[in-house]
Amino acid sequence: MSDTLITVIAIGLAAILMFVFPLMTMSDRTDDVSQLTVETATTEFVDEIRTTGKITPDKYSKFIENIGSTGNTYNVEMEVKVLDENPGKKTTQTTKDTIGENVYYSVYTSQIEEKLYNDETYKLKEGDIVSVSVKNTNQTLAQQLKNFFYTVVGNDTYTIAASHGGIVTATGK
Amino acid sequence: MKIQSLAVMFIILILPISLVLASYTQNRVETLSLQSRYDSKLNDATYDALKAYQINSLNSDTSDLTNSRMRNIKASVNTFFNTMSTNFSTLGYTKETIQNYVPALVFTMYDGYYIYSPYTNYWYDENPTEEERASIPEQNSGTYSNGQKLYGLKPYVYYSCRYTGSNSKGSYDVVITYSLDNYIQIQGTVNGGEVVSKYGYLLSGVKVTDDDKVYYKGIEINSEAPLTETIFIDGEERELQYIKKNGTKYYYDDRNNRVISVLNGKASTQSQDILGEIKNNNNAKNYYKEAYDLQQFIKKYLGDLGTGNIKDDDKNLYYQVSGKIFDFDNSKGIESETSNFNTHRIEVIKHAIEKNLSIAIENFNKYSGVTTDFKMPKLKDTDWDKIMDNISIISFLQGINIGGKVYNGYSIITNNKNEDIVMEDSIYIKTTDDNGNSTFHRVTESSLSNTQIGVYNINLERRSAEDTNGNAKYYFPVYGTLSYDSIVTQNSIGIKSNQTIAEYLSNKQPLAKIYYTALGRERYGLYRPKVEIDNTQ
Repeated sequence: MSDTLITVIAIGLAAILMFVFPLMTMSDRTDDVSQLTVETATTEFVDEIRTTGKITPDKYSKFIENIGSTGNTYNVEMEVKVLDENPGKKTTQTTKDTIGENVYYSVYTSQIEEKLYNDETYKLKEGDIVSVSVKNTNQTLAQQLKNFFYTVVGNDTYTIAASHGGIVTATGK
Repeated sequence: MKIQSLAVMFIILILPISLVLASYTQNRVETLSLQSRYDSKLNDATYDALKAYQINSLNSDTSDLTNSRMRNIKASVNTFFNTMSTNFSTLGYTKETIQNYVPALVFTMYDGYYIYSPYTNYWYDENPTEEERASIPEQNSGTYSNGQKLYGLKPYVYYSCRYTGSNSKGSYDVVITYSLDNYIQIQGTVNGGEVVSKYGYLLSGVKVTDDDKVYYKGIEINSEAPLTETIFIDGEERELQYIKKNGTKYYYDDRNNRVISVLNGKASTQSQDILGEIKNNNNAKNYYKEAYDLQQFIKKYLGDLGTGNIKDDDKNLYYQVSGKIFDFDNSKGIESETSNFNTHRIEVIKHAIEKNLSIAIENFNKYSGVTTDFKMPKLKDTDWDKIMDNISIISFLQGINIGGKVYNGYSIITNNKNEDIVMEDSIYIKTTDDNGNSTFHRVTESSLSNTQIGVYNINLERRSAEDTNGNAKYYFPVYGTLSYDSIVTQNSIGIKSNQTIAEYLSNKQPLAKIYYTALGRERYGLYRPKVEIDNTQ
């Protein structure tokens, strides 16, 4: 009787070792590669926006395709801080000590996407600040396997994330 | 028992494999992420360099002159290396170390470019004679020794090309220098030996009638009423009428009834003859007249110039435009992007930059202590578009070790605000509302009304000056609000993506007249060095 029990436990242990353990290792590696892909794609996307000064629907859909090719679903958030130099002009001929009067007002993902979905380019100018952040929304394989041992719950749990931003150096035309 | 020992063996096998795999993947991840981070840092450093150049040149009255420009470029290079050493400071790189990894910095200007790269300082030629050696005094205390490696600006290289040939008017041998827009300089001999030196913009559709009326694309260009601008003279802020001639602004000081120019806040009196030109601003008319004269000259002497006339050994590799270069009769005009002239101009500029730049980067192998083979990367078409657009800086960074690879990258940043060039979108249109407030718009903004005059966008930038107490003050030469619809954000732009500005303006009056007049006036007033040939000998 106890022989069979030990055999069952042994077979169970063997199953875990032979299947689950390598699977966990491999899926961790997959997550690492996905993290790299998303980071590189985000950095390249933002740098291209910064050096050309515009967000085209073409580039945006290529970016979404790139990060989607890792097999996960992502939530992309873009923010553009538009520089408004007019407040700095209204105080006329001031002393040199006043700085920082220029105002930045923010435009977010849904407003930008609205323009992009109409097949128009979103143009920025020099001095604006753009930032993009990407987080994954599904549970990756590694996460699911780890859930056998411990569960991570919560609204904002993500394993793959990347963000990049910077000042725009050219005015789009 | 069997299974436990098998399990233990399995663990002993798999565990090291997975550890090695993990560290290998981590290494690759680290390399690629470092690469994109270095790209970002290079972009930031190049942008800082450009901003430094922009601020220095806008705030200086003498920035057109070559000495001043070279000083600004050296300051800009300094800024570049400062930012680079700050960005890489965690790796312990100082400015001297970074210089070993930057093979060249290219500053493309209006009609040529500078390269900043290392060179060897020689006092005399390779095999000096005794006289040559004696002519240089022994310099134990000299600043730079013979054979010392130095960093500095190489001489200015123009975007030029030499053409030879003969036609019905005789033989010709000219060098044509191109620029970032359609301004050219022609120097050489035509008509079998007559020496010429001609300058001007190439335009189609210009007509000059006998009674001195000038028409461009059917729109009459008149002389303008005096333009006014704010300026600080001797510490006091004044609003004066002015005209810009060859890069200098001449103001009419009505208080003392004299014509002045301003240098560093101090006024100096100029010839009273200029007063007539200030009151009746003919810059726009002269711009089109000069273009008309140049067109007549080219049609007479160089009408059938083609790429076959280029004097260069490799001309078939680089110059591939077929047909006449000066195609004034192109259906969209010689100014359009698809004309033969424009395509050839881009070829000349590309070839001029690539040739010298690849030599400079190859030579860098001799100077750098780093054991990497430095080569010039192939610039993409989108990169060339950026370079042709306006004055820009190209920076290269090669040879830094990042994990498994060696970093090799470049960055191109374009300058939008400078006084060397007036691009088509540098002219803003001023409108005034009922309360007398002025707003400035792009010319392509939809439904513009109450348009008054066109303004060069540099004049809207803030300048600094000193008042009578020596305190620094800021002022705007031309004051107004930037439109929220076309400048702060580009929300309501009427032009379609495949339309040129000329097509957009083809049925919009008086907007087209205001725009073309302002464009001609500003372009004619820019600083352009000219060689005058005296043919009376």
